[in-house]
Amino acid sequence: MKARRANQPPTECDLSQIDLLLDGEVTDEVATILDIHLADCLSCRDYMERTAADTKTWSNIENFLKPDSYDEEPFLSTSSSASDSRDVQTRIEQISSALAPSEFPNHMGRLGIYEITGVIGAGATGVVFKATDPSLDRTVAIKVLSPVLASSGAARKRFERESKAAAAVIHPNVIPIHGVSSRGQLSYLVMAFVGGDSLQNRLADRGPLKTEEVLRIGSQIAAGLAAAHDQGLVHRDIKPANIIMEDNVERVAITDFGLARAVDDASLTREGVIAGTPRYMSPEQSMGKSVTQQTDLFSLGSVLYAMATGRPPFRGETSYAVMRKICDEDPRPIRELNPSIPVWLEKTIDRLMDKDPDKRFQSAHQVSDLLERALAHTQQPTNVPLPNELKLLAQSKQPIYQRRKLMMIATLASILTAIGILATALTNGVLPQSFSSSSADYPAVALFENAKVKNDSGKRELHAFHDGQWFKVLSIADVSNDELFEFADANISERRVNKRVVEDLPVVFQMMDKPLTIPTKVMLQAKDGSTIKINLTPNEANRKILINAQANDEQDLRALTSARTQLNASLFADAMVKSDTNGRYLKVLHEKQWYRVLKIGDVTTEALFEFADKNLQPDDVNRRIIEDLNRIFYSMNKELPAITSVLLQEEDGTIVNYDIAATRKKRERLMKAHKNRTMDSEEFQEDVREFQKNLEGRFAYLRANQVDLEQLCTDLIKRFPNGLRPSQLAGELDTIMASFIDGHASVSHNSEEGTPQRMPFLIEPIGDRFVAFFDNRESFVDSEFPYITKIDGLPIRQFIEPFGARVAQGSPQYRLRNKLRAARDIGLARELSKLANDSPLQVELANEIGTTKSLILNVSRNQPIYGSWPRTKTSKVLENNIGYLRIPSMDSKAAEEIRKWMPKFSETHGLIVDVRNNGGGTREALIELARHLIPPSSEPRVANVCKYRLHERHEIDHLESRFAYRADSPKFGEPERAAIAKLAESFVPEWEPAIDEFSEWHYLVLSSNKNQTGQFYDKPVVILMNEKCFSATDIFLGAFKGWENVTLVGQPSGGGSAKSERFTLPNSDCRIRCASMASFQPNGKLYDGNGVQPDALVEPTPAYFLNGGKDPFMTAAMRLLNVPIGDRDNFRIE
Amino acid sequence: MTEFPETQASLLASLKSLDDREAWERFVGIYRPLIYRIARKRGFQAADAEDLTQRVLASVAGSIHRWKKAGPSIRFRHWLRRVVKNAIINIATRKKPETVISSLSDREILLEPTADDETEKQIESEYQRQLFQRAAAIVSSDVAESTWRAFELTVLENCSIENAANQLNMPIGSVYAARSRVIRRLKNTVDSMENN
Repeated sequence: MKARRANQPPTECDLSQIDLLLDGEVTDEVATILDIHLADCLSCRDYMERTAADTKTWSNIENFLKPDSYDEEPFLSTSSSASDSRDVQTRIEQISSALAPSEFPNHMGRLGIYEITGVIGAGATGVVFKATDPSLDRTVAIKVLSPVLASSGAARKRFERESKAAAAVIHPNVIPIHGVSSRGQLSYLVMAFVGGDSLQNRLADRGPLKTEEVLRIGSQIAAGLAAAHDQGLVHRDIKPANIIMEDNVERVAITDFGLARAVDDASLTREGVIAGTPRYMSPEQSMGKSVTQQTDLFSLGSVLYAMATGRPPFRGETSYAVMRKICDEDPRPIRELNPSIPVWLEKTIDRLMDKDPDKRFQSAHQVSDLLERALAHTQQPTNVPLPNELKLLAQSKQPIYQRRKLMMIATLASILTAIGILATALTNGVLPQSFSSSSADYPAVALFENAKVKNDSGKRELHAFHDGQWFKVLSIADVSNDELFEFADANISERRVNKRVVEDLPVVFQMMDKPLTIPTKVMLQAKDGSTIKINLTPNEANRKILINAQANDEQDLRALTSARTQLNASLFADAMVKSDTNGRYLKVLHEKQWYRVLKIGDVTTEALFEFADKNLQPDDVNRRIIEDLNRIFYSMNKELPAITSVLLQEEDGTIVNYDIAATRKKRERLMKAHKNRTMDSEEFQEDVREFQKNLEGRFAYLRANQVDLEQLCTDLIKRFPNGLRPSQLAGELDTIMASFIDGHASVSHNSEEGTPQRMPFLIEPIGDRFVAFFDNRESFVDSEFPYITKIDGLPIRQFIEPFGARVAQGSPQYRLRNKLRAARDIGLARELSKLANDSPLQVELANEIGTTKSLILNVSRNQPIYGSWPRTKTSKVLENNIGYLRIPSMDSKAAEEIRKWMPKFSETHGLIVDVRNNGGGTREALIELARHLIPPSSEPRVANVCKYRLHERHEIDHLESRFAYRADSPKFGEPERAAIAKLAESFVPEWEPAIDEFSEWHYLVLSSNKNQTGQFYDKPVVILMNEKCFSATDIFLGAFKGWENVTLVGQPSGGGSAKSERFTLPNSDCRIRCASMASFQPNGKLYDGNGVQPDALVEPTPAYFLNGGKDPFMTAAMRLLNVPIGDRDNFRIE
Repeated sequence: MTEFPETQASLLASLKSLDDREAWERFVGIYRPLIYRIARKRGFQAADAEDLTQRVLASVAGSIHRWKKAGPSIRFRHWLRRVVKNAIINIATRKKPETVISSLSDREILLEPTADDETEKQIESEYQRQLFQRAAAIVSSDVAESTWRAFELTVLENCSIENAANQLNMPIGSVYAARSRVIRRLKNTVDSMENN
């Protein structure tokens, strides 16, 4: 089509081509032809203009883009130069006024011996003057430090230090420095004056450069950098504006080592100062990490990129956006913008711009050398070969940089905090180049490559791996081994002391208020007893090695302890269960080809499935056959020899026999492939429709709130036209389930993705606030500051909010509790909030009066253990003759406990029934306790009104396990029926389940203990409850609500009642749990979404969550039971 | 240009959410010129308009904690937009510009004003203007220079197609195509800014 058009001018109108033209998606030839056509064809032109935008937009654009008089006013000429120039003018005037008067009328003034003749330029840090040096009669450039900066001692020192360092660099591609003065009123630097234009202006004027030019300039910059690097200097601010193209010679020179600092300059490198123009900044600079010579290589790469394409690699509306892109994104491929650039040059620049500093070239020397040789090659392609390194680079198929987000956005954020976004944004989005930050994030660094805590001699010793051998650590920064452990013991929970000393030594030192310096003095003792004193620099590389080494140790240990490792082998590297007209079969990957399995050893596929069907959960059959074939053989009592004979069938019917070895590697591959494979759109749609069909057919709360399931499923399918991974699907379905009210609903998928990162402490709500404590319940995260207000800078509620979409539409207390619980997965929480995931946790704590304190804690790999709270499982008779019945869980033991203890309580004055943190179970305990609390003469009481969804698999006795029966059930006697009839008269459900979809009403009815007349408990009863009461416990609480002798005390319960069922989706193995029963409180309210309200509300206090803390719930109960005032407050949690 | 007091910078720094920060940066980029222009059109002297702009922005920055109190249900950029609208309407509808500057309290700046259709329209129009200006900055640096010039000449500078074609040494059809393409990109850019 296009070819035809290219040869003959179009005579007819082709509007689709015009659409493409508008989007810039036609080839040049086609565009040319269309242009000819457009010149003549009014109707196509008309179409094009209408399609480009409606008339209103055309006129808007015309109106809004025409500058008016206001746009010319200084305040609005924001195109940075104007407003900057005002600043610059001020700066120049400021400095000029401090100059001594000159004897020459046309000179601006005098500075030292120099006669100032003009201004060359001005930057954020100072002004550069042109001057003559009368003694030598030469022209020089003098950079004067801005007086504002000079008034700061640190800046002055830095200026002096950097100037001296820069003066030591003597190289043709570096502008020489003649001298420096910081003694007088002005601090200044005298440099050679080099006439010429900056590379920035050159690029602005002429756009992209030719390959040869790029190489020539690039190799010279690299050579200049190499010279500076040899002196231990990092430029830090390589950008086109700092490259001077000298007049009349083919030479460029790097200027403005104004921000360069000696690499080993410890006091200043730790300030977290951002130097450099964001566009050419390296990712590590953007993140405020430590900067090495590799940083200059990145910036050099960016400058080469700009030369090759005419534009900077990263652009954005704001500095912040640019920095984010530098960290997160790869620039547009160079050859897309300028196809004349050779592949090898593109790859060379890519490599320089690798996000990982270690993956860039080794040194500026190497780069300079390569570019110079490449230049020679370009000039004489036949005589000079391209350097081998570049040839190889050009052939590499893998893009050097891959899209990855390894960067610490949070760090970036904190740096931006430090520089004060406000000032930045209100001026022109230009980063101030000088500022200091006192709150730089603590970087993940380590002193040693590996470490361990030994306990041979009865006292703990830290040992460190350094320079290829293990040493005993005597002291670090003058802190002895013993002092270190003494501090750690006092400040870190016992279980973690060793781990933290090994893995987070710098953090421990920071906690001591002795942050490790660069370098840190360390005293080590070798095995032969000799001691050495060395200076070490904490660095990230060490930390990576250390963490890796620690993880490997654990892994090896696990491997050793697992006796049945051979079960973790697999014959095939991938497998799937398929079915056709002959039934199910197993399809496997062997030697890169897929086969149908006929027989493994002496087991036919049919026999295999038969065994699996008989012995495994129906939902699990496919998955287990795929993942655990060896285990299934093991349970069949079949031994799989090291090499098994397998009969396979090819696609075309050919049958082949292979001897195949089962290996662990293959299983690893299989597990990975199976769990992470992407389902194609067909499989995906099948699963989603299956999900929808199941919910529509059996889910009780399908219509309890306004959820359009059909729409949600259709949207989901639309969103992933190419399918998705099973674990992703699980997440999506989870979100859909969460839009219903069913508190029991869940979607699970056992994929193993990444190392879990857990919150190292627990969080509990107290009113509007949150308290944070360690899971051993021994201490708050900080003893003086029990409340937690922020994590990673986000208020707690905001931090957990992203989980809102995954928590069912239950009661507020249910949602809060579950969001908090979900957020213990710190990795996921950070991912959802788009926070960096590789840094320690930043928490803000507060005390009672709201004073805050910030702390940095490492994330944990272990889930913090909540446990039962209070821990006690013991019932007893308390002082003052009060009975205490503890029911931590609604299991059958609870009913026994009630049977056993109620007679013992018969003489007490009152009874406390403690069901706090009871997450449910069966209803037996409720029925048992009711027998003791309902007077024999009293009528039975209805506790739960419910219906189940009609479905082929729901039998008529579906709710019997819930002790709920139809009104006419023989289980009920006359008094029960009367009670039901009485309730039914006034019962109005909050939501009416559709008659054709649900069973008749079922009732749970509680009666008194008819066999033991007179034996019932008639003293006041207090039930202690909280938001963690759920499910059967909700039923329990709802049942007793409103009884005249029972008071509910504490916090509203979670709210959830269900008989839930599970189904599995065929392709993804997602398991979905959903309610089959709609369940109501006797007052007509659903449990789900409401919970049960206490009669008396009690807030916990922070101490309540720690061992031995005061128990305000018990105090309140005692008050209600009229215990004398002095005895009410004695209860400590246990 | 007046520096803002430390306290307000640190208040702003408490916006840890990256989206909020970006929202703020973008907000300032658009509203700084917007407020100034409205003030000028309402008869403020240039210096007064500058001062006013800074005051409004500073007040908004200083009241970020109110947004926090307003709860997470209100999105930051929506909140910003509302507050600044209130502030402008409050100020712009006053009679005497000179009294505004000296007597306006932060509380007043943030007060919910009575509705004023005309001012609202003006804000909306100025807002659109800023969006298009920003879009122009982006698009002009992304398209070939001749393409942009073709657009500028024929749409903004009332130059005829033939003249533009001559001046740029382009075929007439290309000038048509170029300006339509720029218009299309401007529109798309503005749309995406509004949707973000």
